[in-house]
Amino acid sequence: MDEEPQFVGGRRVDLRSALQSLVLPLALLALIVGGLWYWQSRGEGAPDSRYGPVELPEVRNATNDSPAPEEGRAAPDFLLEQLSGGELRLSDLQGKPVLVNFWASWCPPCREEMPAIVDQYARYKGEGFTVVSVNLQEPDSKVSTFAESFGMDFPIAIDRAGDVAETWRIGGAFAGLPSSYVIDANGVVRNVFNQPLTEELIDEALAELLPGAAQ
Amino acid sequence: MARAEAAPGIVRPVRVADLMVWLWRLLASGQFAVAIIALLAIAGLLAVAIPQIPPPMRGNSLAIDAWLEVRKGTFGTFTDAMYRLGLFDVVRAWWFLTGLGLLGISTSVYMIDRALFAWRAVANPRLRLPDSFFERAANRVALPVPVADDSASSALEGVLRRRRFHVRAQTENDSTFMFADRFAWAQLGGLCTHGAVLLFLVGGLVSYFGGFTQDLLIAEGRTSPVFPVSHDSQMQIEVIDAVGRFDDRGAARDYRSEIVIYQRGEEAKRGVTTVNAPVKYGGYTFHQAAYFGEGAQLAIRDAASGNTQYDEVLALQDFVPAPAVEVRDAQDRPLLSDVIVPTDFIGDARGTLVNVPQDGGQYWVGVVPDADGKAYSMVVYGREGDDTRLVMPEGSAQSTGGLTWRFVETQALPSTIESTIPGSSPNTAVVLAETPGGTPYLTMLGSVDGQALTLYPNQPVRVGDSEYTFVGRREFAGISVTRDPGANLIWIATGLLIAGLLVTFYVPRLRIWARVRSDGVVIAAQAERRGPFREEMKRIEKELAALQTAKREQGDQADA
Repeated sequence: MDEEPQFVGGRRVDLRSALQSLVLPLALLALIVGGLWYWQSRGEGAPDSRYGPVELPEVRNATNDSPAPEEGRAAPDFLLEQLSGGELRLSDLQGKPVLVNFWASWCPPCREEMPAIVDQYARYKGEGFTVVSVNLQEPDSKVSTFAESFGMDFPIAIDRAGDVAETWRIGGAFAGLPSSYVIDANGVVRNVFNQPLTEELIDEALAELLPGAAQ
Repeated sequence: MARAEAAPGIVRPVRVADLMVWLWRLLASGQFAVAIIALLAIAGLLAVAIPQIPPPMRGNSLAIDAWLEVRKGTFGTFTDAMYRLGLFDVVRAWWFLTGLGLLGISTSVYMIDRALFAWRAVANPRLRLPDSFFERAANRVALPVPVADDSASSALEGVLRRRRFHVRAQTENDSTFMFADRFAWAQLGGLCTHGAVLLFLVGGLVSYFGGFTQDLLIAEGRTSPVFPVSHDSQMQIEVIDAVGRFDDRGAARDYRSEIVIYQRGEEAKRGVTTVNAPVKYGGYTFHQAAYFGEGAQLAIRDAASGNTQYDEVLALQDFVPAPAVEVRDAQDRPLLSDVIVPTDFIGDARGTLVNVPQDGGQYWVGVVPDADGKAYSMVVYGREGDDTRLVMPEGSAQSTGGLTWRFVETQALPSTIESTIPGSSPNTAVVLAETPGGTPYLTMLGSVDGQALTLYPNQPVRVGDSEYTFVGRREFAGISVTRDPGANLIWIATGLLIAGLLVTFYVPRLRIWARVRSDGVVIAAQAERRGPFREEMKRIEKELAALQTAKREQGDQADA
């Protein structure tokens, strides 16, 4: 650390010097850091903001409580793009029991449970049962290959931004993938499954909702 | 302004402002910084001299306890105390982190303290210095050149400018004061160096708090998310092709993978990543960090609907010992040369029934571990009245019943135990082997009715309502995804450090104050090194003398 001669007088701060020696270098540093941040985060495009969680209309809320992905609460509504084209709004399906299943092709337990969901949908769709399969943030081509391979002929929606999954609390301490929710005809969550589904689990969940479901 | 004087004998309480000034001076002092650096250096030596807890063990108290037990053999009763002091994990010890923090604060305070001063010394230096400076400065010279006329100051100024000094002058009464500066900006070299130290610390903090690391093991043809479940910046990585190259001794020479990165449902980037040349996207770096070559893709479909029931790439991380065997007849003609995949596990013995071609006999061939467990012997038992009973070590051959059996070697076949294969027993062993022609095949043990099922690539086998297919061999790529927002700061800091040191040590800054009066010229300097000052003074003196001589000659000619 260099030393100044002893004859140089006391320090006097004037505004101009302060501006030159502190503010400008700090502004330059901020510019560099900001530029680096922008450089690093470039390439992340924003998904269509129309899609994602939407407010559940009051008339479609059969409970006295706000929507939440919990048993006894109204199912949180969402509007998503479908793999087959068009849009899907969950609350439009009120009037019949729905299984909302969150999955991804990279998730082994999702692959494990999918044959059971496909089989049970085929068994009960004649009684009004439907499945809304929500893929998490994957490319259409991947989703399409997977759906074709497993024979998924129910509606498949894609949560591109991942905010529907966030609303449905997927990814917390207890709810990973796959997670499934059985919703009754009034749009109320009846069962929550934070585990791979089996035919037996689906049967039990539908027993009270569908007259023909196996006990 | 009136000032309160403390009466003698009365202790004046320490004011907060005084304390702050004292603290500021302490933090701004070079000695304090050197003391902290010395402490950190000693800590570094301790970290080298004393065994440190391996990073993977951190947070695992059981593993740490076991590790400490081993250390007790060296450090005895001091081990627990050393652990509590953090001597086995120096870089994470509270006192080390405190030292680092103090160094950062000290460097910041020093920089702020010096920045204004240094800039003013560069941009607005003092021209007029007291006479005492010209009489006492360590680097000063009174020029013997008799400069008594009015042109003395302009002559000196001209010489200094020719010597590439930036000159400023001020006249007071009969004196002219000059300040001449060369490489004035070199004063900022020290600030540059300290700024670099500060940036290193900031970069480390940014990396620590804002960094991200995720290690993924992805099979060829498979995709894996970067973040667990959903995330604003979620990306999926697909491994198209994973390649591992090894030399003759089995040492890895190169790992590389072709990967595709997807984001927001679209392909965002495609490239080949290696250990040293990662793929970069969106501020994240995708390194090839590992390679695993033993994988097999198994698919099971519902035979009626064609729907997939199971489609996984199995990582065959275990190994099953299997004998490579050769069988020849009495005329030494080869009848069998193959690796026998075990399907029966009887005690320690692993083997299977083998039909020897042309001979027509059926034998149970397998391996059993030797008593010390370090090697295997091959066993051959005849069936249905054949009393063949052979036990032979590796590399040996034995003959019986017109056949010569040679135990070529023990091979370790990649295998795993799977519990999720539909329609199979809870613990199905899956073994990957190759035919003598090099075609891989998969053996599933106990998959259907306790029987072994052998699958060749893309040749579906129907069992019951299901169709089993060994899709093919698959390799795995270990991809390390990292985001280090502090890395760029570290690079900038490195550049600043190098620039600062170069400027400080190699740019000969020289500041000269001159006083020109009728009784002569005194030049004094503030110079980091005396040598350059003396050399410069010699040159200035020489040039001034030459000017003086030329002027005198001009005067003589005018007189003549």
